[in-house]
Amino acid sequence: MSDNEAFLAFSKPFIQATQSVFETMISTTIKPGKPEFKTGHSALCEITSVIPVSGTYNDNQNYSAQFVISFPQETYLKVASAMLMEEYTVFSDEIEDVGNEISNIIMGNAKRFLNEMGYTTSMAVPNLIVGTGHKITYPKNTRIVWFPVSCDHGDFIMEICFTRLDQDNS
Amino acid sequence: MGLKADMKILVVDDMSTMRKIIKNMLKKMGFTNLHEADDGATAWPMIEEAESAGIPFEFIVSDWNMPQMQGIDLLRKLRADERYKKLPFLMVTAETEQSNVVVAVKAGVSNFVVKPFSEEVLKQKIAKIFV
Repeated sequence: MSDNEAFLAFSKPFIQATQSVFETMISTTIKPGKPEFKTGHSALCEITSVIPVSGTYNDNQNYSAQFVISFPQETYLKVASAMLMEEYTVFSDEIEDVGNEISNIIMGNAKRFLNEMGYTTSMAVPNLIVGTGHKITYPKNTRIVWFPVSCDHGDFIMEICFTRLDQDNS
Repeated sequence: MGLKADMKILVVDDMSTMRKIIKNMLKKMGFTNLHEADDGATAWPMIEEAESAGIPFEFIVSDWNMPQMQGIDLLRKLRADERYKKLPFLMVTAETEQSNVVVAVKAGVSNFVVKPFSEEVLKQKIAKIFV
């Protein structure tokens, strides 16, 4: 399997899981746009949840990866309102772990698909970063794919990065 | 055991978002006596105090993955105590591997709901516990 094929195969479970989470718990469907490679480490929106994942595939080859979901504040407030069934008009402590809960559920759901594909997965605790132009830390030597996503509550960004450690870092 | 609106329910989750989602879903179903704890270690003394006061919890909804005391450990601790052997316990988890279901069933879970879930699914899972 080429690097691009491996990347594509690894990304699909995250998209499937995101669709499932948004349909079930946020009552909206998502429409992912065209994926692009990302350069630079600046976040593309104001509120970002980052969840690193690592593990093995194809008989113990190691990989390091990361799932990122990044929201403009307006979308975040609408998504939080829909998910919690209460209206929020300002970002506050009360809704600060909504982003991490979403990424946590997506990761937990994607994990099942990844396991079926032969990946073992160890997921870290998600981390929320807030602020315009904040930096995201990525695994070393990784390629990052980002794509815009739209839903009834507004647009947001998803990023997935994936690195074969045995190949890239040996 | 039937369902009553004032059934004393404890929602246990380390993420305040998920506690709020579950509580709001339960409220929409008509439940009114809702309490919350942020992990198993916090939940256990609440369960003990309620029992001692003569107003015990009647239903536990708990996440699996939590710091300090995980949901599965809270379940095992409850089932090891004669007073809580039959306390209805719904496990909430994002982990969908079959092994988790087997472990929870062996530990005496009443039912199991996998995130993400809708209000309707939660309602069905609860209904199956209290048939």
